[in-house]
Amino acid sequence: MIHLTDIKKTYQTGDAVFTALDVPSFHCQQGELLAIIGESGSGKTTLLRILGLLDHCDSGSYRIKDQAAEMLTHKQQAQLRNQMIGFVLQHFGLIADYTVKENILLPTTYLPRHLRKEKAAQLDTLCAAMEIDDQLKKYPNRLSRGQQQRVAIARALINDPAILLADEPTGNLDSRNSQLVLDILRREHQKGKTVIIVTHEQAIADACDRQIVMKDGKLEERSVCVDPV
Amino acid sequence: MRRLTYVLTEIGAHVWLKVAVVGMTTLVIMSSIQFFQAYDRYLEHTQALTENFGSASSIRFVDISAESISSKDILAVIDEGQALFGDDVYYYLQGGDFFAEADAFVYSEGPLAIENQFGQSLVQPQIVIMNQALVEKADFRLASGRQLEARDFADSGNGILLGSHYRENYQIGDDFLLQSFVGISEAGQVMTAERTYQVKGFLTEAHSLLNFWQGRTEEILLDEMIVIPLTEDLMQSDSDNLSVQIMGFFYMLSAKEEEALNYLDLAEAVKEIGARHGYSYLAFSNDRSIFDFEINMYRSLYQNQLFLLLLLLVFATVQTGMIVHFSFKKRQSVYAAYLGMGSTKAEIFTVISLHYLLLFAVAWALLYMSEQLFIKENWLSRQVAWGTLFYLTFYGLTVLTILINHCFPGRKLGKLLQMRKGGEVG
Repeated sequence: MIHLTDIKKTYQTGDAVFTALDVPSFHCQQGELLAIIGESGSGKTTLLRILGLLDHCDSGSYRIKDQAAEMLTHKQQAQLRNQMIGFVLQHFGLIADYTVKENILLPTTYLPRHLRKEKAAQLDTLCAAMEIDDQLKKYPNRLSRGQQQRVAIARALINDPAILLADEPTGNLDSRNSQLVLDILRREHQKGKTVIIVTHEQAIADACDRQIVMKDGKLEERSVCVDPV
Repeated sequence: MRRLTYVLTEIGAHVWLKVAVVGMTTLVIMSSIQFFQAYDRYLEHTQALTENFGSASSIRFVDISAESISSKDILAVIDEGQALFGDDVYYYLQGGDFFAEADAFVYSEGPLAIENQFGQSLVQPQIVIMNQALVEKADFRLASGRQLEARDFADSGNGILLGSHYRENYQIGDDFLLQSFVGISEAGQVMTAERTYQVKGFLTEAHSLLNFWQGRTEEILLDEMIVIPLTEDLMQSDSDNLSVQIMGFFYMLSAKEEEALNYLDLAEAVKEIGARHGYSYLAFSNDRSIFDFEINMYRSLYQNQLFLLLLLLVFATVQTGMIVHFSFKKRQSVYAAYLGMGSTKAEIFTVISLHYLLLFAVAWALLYMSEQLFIKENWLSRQVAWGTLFYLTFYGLTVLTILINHCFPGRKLGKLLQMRKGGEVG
């Protein structure tokens, strides 16, 4: 489903060139639950941004669903992000001016008109599953952090994407809410979605099928962990 | 629809910062317009003064000896003046002896009203009566209708031009009734005769004439003015009028250099004309020091405006730049969410840019309303256009530079300005 080959990404600050990513090969099959773990600054967010078509690499090739990312126009990439990829961010990325309901339905506004109603009809089921169905009229700042992250996940799932990318999804949460979020992600994985979680917490990574360790922009495969369930 | 929602959402975010942007933008646009207004005035007055500079530009016949009032033949004076100066002599009478009924719609010189032989209450409208040479020289800008032509200066001519403020109450072709002063009856009653004019054209808004006066340029605003051609019959009837007899009239000499240089020779001849007809005369010369003072005054006015504008520009550019920068940083997670949901960077860039453009438009609208309600300066549309475009350029460059740097850090400009290592959206 996802194939990276000879990916390189560098940043330049003054005369110094900093290699953020140097990945000879990376694959992720459909339906995998994958953790990318590493210290802060190891390049894991950069990798996730490239996987999510939010950023481009300096060299190498990236194929997603048998399409070469570098051959896609910005508009096609945006369309892929909208329909195939769901993002869960550490700081939730909720829009304070919109209610919970409006926030969750935002990704549907990019869809063709006839699909919007179809997706909106799934709102109640989705929110009930996230246990936020009684919060729909509230604004994000009236919710707890755990609730905010569940709203963010609901928004990531509203278009029913095949891939879920989570950047430190539990980074701002207490242990109870962390577990709740992790359970939701695992549940989505069990439904057949590809879930890639970037984290620096070993406990979260241990809950995944496969772990990849990042260090100084390079990948290192780790043995498959035991399913805690 | 989605983009419009995003633009409105942007305005709603950090609303006090947006208020600061709008406030400062309003101030700078106003200053910019005022600068162009001052510069325009400087250019106009300098050009007019330079073109008309000579040893004398205007002559006024004045009679202060009441006993000789009836003995003057103004038509002969005008004829002799014309013979002396040629066809380029400009003269006008301000006000003349025209009145209008108080209940008619006119802009009057003052609240004073008099009553005529028919018991009508009369006021004196703002009127300027011009000869054909002066009308041609003035080359009025018309909002509608036509210029005054040779036929309007003939005996039967009845065409007039009206200032822009009259447009609300009159139309081209409408009759315009005025009462001309005939005399005073033995009982002391003011006697008038009705004259019917026809509206031929309307002047543009904020139109003004420059009157040369002792080396200075006096601006006569024509918005509320009625421009009447000095016809032969009007000269005939006015020549007996008291005020014309006493106050005389202006000769505004040609700007032709040789005539100006010959003025000293002509002065004696002018004096003789006056003396023949019982007039004293005053020659208002264009003294070099007055001329320089006038030019310097207009120059320093626009320079002061420029200094103020530059000061505001520096402050506004820094302020706007900082607000654009910090607003973007604060909203970065929102833009990241938009990007993740299906927006392109170009769309986000467009939305943010449009929202700043909208703030500019709000500032402009606020200024327009304030101008109408409180400032009430006569800004010409070209001054408004230049003033607005001038600051829009600075404002646009400031906003776009920072947004390009944030939204497209890979671009050349972005790379030049980029201070951070990257990694976040934008």
